[in-house]
Amino acid sequence: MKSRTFTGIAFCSPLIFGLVAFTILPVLASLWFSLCNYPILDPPRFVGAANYVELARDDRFWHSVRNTFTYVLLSVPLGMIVGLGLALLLNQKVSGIKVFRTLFFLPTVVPLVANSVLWVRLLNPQQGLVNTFFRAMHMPEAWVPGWLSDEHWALPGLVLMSLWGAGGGAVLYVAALQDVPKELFEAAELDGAGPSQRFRHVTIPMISPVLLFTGVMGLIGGFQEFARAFVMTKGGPWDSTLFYCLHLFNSAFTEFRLGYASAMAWVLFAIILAATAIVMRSSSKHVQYEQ
Amino acid sequence: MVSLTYLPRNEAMRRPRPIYPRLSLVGRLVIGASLGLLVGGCLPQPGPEPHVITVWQPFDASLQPALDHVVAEFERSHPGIKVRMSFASNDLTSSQKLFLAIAGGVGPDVTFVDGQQLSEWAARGALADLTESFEKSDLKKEDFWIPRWKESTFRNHVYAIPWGADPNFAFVWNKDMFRKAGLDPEKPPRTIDDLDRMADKLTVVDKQGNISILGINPWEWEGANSMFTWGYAFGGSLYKEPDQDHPLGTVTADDPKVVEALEWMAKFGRKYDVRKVNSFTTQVIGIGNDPFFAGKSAMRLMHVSQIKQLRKYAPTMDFGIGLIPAPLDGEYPNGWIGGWSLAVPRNKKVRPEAFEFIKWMCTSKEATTIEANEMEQFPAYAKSQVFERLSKDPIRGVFYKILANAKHVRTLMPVQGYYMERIGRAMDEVLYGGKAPAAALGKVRVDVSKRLEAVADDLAQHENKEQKQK
Repeated sequence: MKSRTFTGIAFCSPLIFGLVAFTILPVLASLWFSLCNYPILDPPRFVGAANYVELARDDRFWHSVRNTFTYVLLSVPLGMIVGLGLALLLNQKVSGIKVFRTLFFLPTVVPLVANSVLWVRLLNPQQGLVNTFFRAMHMPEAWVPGWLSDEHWALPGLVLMSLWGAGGGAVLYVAALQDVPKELFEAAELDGAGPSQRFRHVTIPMISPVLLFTGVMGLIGGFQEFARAFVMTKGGPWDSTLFYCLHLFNSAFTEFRLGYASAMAWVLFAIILAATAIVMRSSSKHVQYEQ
Repeated sequence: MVSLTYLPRNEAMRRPRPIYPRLSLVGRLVIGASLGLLVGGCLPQPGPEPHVITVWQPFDASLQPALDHVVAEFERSHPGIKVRMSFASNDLTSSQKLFLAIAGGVGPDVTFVDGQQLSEWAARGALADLTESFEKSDLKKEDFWIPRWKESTFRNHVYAIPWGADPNFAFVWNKDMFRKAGLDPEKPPRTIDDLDRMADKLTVVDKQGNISILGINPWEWEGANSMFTWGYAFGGSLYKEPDQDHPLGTVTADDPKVVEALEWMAKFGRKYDVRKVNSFTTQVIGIGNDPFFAGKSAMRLMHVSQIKQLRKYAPTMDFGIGLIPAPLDGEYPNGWIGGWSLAVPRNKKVRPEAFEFIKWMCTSKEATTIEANEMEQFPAYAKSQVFERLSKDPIRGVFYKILANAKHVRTLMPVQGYYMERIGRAMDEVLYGGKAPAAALGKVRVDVSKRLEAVADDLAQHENKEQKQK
């Protein structure tokens, strides 16, 4: 038995080594670095909580926190609503529905950088397709958004772009919708429930675990938003799309202040942990699991 | 097929005995490793390569053929040395690959470094001191364009040899668009008032208030670069060279002439709406769609390497090229010099063959010719014979004039990356937020000066430590 355990561990050893060397140790090292001044070319020098104190006083840090929270609060619920709406449409029994499911899922598999380049074009205030559509709808010129050139519209522009990937969530919702027992709808219908009541009181509770899952994953991903802003705006105009992770990246790899960036990473970890805990705790009242 | 799951004990016992003797896992690993070593040892081993030098370059793929050519030329003229050149990105502030490699002790023998990075990288201890190799060689600092030489030294030590010299920038205008607007195509703006007047005539705004033709976008060169360009043209300076009281130089971001330059840009931004100007010029994908190349913008500041693009994307354009306009009390001719240099990372010994490569790249006839002809860049080696031809060229001759007259570089302070970032943000505050230029640039001066003091303290600590060790 002992040799079997040993053999088992030996077979797992590459994975264990990888986990320890490339995940656990760097994570612990970053905790240590967050307490150091570490300009990468010199060894880390212990400075206590100085990095955390500086964070609290850094205007740009708070600005990036505000931007990131705004982005999460807009993109996560909107992404879920659009994803669910798509799923309801894709759950219809019409011919060619598989083609539509593939089409809506497609943006999820397109690389983010390619997507970003495409969206810079779509969001061009003068020739972009989005504003061309608004103008075709006779929107007054003063209302047509300046998107990535306008500090008020750049963040909503990135939120709009994030909805492009709502098809990924929709696939999960379709699976969940198809799992809802038909008897429940029949029973509700016999009791006189209309379509909206059936949706509110049968569909939503039955797919609530999937909603919770996509919500939590969206929350975690939203707080870590980086690539779109890095490729499309570099944080501008006027820092309006300076997300937390972009500020962290700049601190670490442009200014080479690895200690400061590590402190930011740990604060982000605390924020995500707290946000996830709040959602999970409050979910017990709303999420129903099948017995 | 054998399942990977464990078989029940009695079933396992029914398995046929293996014909090889039973060995523990450790025993099998030892035998396997020994066999591997034995086989490896029998294979022919490559001979030692004492004269291979590794070089990291930052250029895009379009310059690869020219780089391959220059390496081939070097190897032909230096039979004992092989060059392995590979790409390492450099965003003009940092080079992640290089810094991480230096920290890990695996940097290349030679690396390109941008002129504005040098003092900062030298102060951080990223580069090896080349003073000794330079003094032993037959190179002289007078052989290089002076601003570029300054950008290759820090506190009287040589940390790089200048390779390229970018005359920033030339003023280019579309003559057809001048004609259409009723302007004399042979008379470009000389002063900022001329420029304002012409931009006004050339710009066309449609009924909906959107720009359909633009005169010029003064801040098209990423934030800080525009500030350096116009700041110098207005007669200002963004730094003062080191003196006894300020051994690392002085930040002068809110020099009255620099403030004046930003005030002019702010006025321009208010008139044409900064958001509309930016959406017209910067939210563009693909060089061919650049408004100037597409005939939608009449004037722009151009880098020497863009002449090639102009010929490619607008082959029929009738254009003129000259000096950047400046106020009458400003600086004319004006311009500042940038460019790449070649250096050795700090954890590498300065190998004689590596220094020979640097010297050859920066000064040889072959290398500077390829640099000028195939890479469309100007050598930093002022004695290069290519200038005889370049100075007479109707287009590149203008760049030569800028190069020969320019006194400035961006700055020579070891906080350049931070300075550029802070200037860019101050410009956003002014152009987008309507903040007063003097206040925004004043804040830059205070912030960057603080950072400069911190660097000075760090350097002093390092020096004390080194002296104690000695």
